[in-house]
Amino acid sequence: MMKFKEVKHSIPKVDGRGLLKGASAYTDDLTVNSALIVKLLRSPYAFAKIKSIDTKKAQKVEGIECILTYKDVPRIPITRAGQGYPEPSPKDKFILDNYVRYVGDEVAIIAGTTEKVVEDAMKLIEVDYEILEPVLDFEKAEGHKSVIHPEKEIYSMFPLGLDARNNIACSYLDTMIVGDMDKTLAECDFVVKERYYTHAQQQTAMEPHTSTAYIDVQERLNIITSTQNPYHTRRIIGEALNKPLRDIRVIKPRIGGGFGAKQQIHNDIYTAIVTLKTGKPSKCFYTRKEVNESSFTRHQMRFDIQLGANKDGIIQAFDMQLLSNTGAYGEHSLTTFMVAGSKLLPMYNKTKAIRFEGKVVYTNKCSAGAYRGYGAIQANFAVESAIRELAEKLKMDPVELRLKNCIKEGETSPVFQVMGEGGEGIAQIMESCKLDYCIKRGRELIGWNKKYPSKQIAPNKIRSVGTAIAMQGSGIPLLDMGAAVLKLNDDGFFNLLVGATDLGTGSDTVLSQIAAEAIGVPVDRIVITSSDTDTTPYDVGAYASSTTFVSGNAARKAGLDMRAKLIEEAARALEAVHKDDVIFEDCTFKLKDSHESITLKELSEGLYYKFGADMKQLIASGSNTSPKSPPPFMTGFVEIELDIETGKIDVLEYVGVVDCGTPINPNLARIQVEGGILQGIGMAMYEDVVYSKDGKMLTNNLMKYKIPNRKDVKKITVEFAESYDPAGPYGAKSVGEIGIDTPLAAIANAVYNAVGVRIRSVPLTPEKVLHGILEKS
Amino acid sequence: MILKLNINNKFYNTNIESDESLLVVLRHLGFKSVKKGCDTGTCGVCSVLIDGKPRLSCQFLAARAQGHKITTVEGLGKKADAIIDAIVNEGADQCGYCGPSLVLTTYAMKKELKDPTVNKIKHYLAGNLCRCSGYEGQLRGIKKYMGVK
Amino acid sequence: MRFEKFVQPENLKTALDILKKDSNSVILGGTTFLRLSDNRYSTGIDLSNLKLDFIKENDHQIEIGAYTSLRTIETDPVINKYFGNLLPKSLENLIGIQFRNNATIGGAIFSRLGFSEIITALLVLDCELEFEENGKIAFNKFISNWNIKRDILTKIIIKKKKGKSSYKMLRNSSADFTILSVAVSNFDSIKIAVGTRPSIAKLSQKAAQLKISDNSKIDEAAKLIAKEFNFGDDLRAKSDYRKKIAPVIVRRALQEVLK
Repeated sequence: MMKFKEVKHSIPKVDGRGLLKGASAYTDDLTVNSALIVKLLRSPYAFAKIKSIDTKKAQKVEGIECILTYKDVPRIPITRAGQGYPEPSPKDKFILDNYVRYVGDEVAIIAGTTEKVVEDAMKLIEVDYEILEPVLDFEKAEGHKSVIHPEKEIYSMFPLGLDARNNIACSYLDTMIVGDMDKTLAECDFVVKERYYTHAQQQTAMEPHTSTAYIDVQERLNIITSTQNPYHTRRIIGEALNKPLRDIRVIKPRIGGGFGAKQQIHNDIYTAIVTLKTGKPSKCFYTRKEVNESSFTRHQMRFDIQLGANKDGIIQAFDMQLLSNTGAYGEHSLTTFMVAGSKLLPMYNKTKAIRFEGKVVYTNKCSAGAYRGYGAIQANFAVESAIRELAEKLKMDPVELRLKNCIKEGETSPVFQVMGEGGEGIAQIMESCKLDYCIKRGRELIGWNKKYPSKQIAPNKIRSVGTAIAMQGSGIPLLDMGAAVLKLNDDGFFNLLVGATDLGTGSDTVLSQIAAEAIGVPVDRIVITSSDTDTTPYDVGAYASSTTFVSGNAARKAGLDMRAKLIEEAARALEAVHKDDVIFEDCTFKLKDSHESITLKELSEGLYYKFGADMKQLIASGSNTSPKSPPPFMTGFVEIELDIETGKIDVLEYVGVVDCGTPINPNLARIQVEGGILQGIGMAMYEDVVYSKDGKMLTNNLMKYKIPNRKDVKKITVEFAESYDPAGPYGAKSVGEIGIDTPLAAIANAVYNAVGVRIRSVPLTPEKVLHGILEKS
Repeated sequence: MILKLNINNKFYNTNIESDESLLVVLRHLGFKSVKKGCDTGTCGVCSVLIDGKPRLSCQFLAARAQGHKITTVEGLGKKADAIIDAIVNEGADQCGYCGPSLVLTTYAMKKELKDPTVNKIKHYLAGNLCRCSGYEGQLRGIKKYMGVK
Repeated sequence: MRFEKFVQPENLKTALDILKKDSNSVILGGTTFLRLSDNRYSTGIDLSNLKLDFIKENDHQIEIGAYTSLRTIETDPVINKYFGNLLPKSLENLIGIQFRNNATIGGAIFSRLGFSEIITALLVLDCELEFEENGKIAFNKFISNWNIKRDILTKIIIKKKKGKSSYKMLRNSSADFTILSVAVSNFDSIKIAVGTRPSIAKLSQKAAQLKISDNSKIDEAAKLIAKEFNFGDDLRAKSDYRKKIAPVIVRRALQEVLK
């Protein structure tokens, strides 16, 4: 086991105390009181063409500064996905358009002095719509007579298989194929062939999307925004408004959670354009209704799974056919789709035949986008349910079946090479993989051998257990890049400047610990700043489980660079013959075999005040991209209590055992997993995005869209496997997403283990469970 | 209408609209610990104490607040330290957006609950939603603060 | 919710005058709909200075002022002494204590919302409402009567009775609204109310005639009672599901009362 001084230690988040004391830290806190209030008039129809729009009466409302319709804004197709460049999402969105494609789509931008003024003006805008037949069922979208994107300008920068005439945002066919599927399936002793559905889910960050814009003294556009990726945001605003990037600055303050929601661009373009038009500061703070109705949800998906195995329980064939619903616009359509395959198929790597294909379709619903789990959670429900179904056919303990087939350290899968995120992948061998340990340890913690499959504890109550395993990635290989800069100050402390975006995960703390470890100083010598496109270096941002692994390695490199520079300067100050004679510990540089020494503080003072011709600013940097994306692994075990008369499920305990390499800050890593698990349980049991028959979202507030509260789950237990990945900073892999993946299948499997009812669509409502029980009896 | 509000034991004269929520008025006066999260009185991030009791400021009329003692986290000062330490020592603060309201409600809970138990703590804090932490870490910390095993 | 004027009348009579004269005025309860509702009013009438926040008891009855918060009722020792924990049980899962400290019993009753659990519970008590203009009205009558719109509810009067009561419900997430709520009491006779069907709670007509001699009859009785009610769809469940669980929940409440 490696010994570390700063990493693998739980320290409080560097911003934790300040935030809990209520410091002004989030976008809205930092907005000037005089900022114009920006609101959007939104479509009441799922699909319509604007025949005419009249803002004359609205313009006359006192206090109104600016009303913009599609006629007043640049018509440049963009994608709001907030991805790297060129983007693997279709460029199918205009700032405003004469078509509206879902209930909540933007019709006009209104800015005025107060919320009331803007609301009054909004009611006075007269819009004449030609109502079109919407496409609401994603299984009927392809080739539907309504074409959601008839406009000519839309295009893709990647070969996505975009076919807008047929409502197809992208398709992926004939590529991810290993072996002969049909032949292998025919030879298998047992085959599971089933269809599974997962629904949309709301990210529900507690802080609604917020943006504020102002013009600075250099007459540049400044935007403070709740974003996960300030650099992409700057690029997309520049693209949408046709402005050079040097004229735009994007500042990410503290963020009140994101979970993928804030990877997308939301209201920045509206505040930007209002501020550019009026010259005045502006802000746009989404209502919760807007967050739910008019931002982004998780992609709804349908899976057709075939699993084939021989009597010995070795899985021979693994086929996944996927239909995904991207809603009105195609953000993240291809990449979430591919992650559904790339994070599941390699997990069972003893297969002879692998096939993964499908399409992503447009519908007239809220656009789907990035959300923690990102395709993998959907596929996990389908695959891990199917594995339990296969175990049933094999008459095998599902835990044993997984142990027999799961990927192990030193192994690989052909899938890594064939398929990445948006295109081809990169071959990789699992240099750290404790999945088998996670399974065995989880089995112990939940008491599987005593509890499986179930036990009746009262006439109407059954307790049962269920399980699922999962794999995620650590950034996108050779696409994600992060950088860090370290600056030495007098008094011997360092500024760590990172483009990486702490959105509440604790990454500022984790990166500080890594930099401190690399320099060889206590973490309290580091003061971190994230992130600002003017002052911090580039980073893709916080998504794809990249920060600890990708940006963490950048912080480590910057730290090592700084350490080398410090030692060089100390050697000069101590008049050492060789740099190698300088020992740096306890913030003091000592000469080997000598009593000569200089403290870090003295060195820094010398460099800035006393060393004459040798005075200089010490600055170090590191940037990092990786050819690998070492996957974290996890096993989830759940114990439920099922009321067989009502179908109501109570989660008694959820056990997660995780291999994330070295947890840089074990407390923060643990909370990441616990939080992920509860979001997964929310999706499994309570959360559902429901539309009316004409396409209006009914679950548009938190009274109707229920995220779990603290009474819902009795207990969550999380442990980490002892693991070290040589590619990671001090052995770390990612931990941000992996926690969310397993609950859907684990709980569905527990329901099966309790009452023999197989539910192949989430959420697992009491209604569905009881229906299954009654149908069976 | 002109109001005289007692916020954290100091008086503030402020001109408000008759239908304004206390949340809007407090934020305007600079009490940024009080957050806006959901508009429907469901998430708890706008919680403040009114005469010592936790209430949602988003649905509390500012016009009604005159004559009452309003407390925000800013007003707890050092009295909040033990609660804050309990949470950050578990790493359970995460994005922090729900944090000030959780600290404030926990403070009120400590005064109100005579014989706290895990279930009573969960019940008392059920209206404080958190999407990041999964609640377990907060419970670990708050249990210690409340003296519950 | 928006209103131009905020008034605090000196007494209930003045308040009623304003309410009667200005058809676009509104009595402000716990204002839990302040952000949720899109309604616009001319005048918001605030009664919070009129001492309507009280719980009093005498030998025969308990009186609850209309401005008493749901949280006060949930935790009040007097209320907890009578009727088992019927009322607290029907309140304790409503969102959170910050919400229940705002919400008033008057507002909860007057708005007659389908998801209201306290209405289900109050139905099985001997309960009257007192209005400034219309005087006393039986609780049961008021909640099914939408003619009373422009009056001020001042207090709720509950007769003290000896006997058992029970509140049972089914909800998915523990702070969600219920899929079904059931209250049962056995004072002079058995009363059963079924609520969130998802329409507002109603009393069973057949309950009073129930003769339950032994446990095996409870199941039969519950099925019979459940048949009396019609059920509808909402976000939380379809009518068919409500129909299936109604006898289960009624049975569980009956068992508790009769054991």
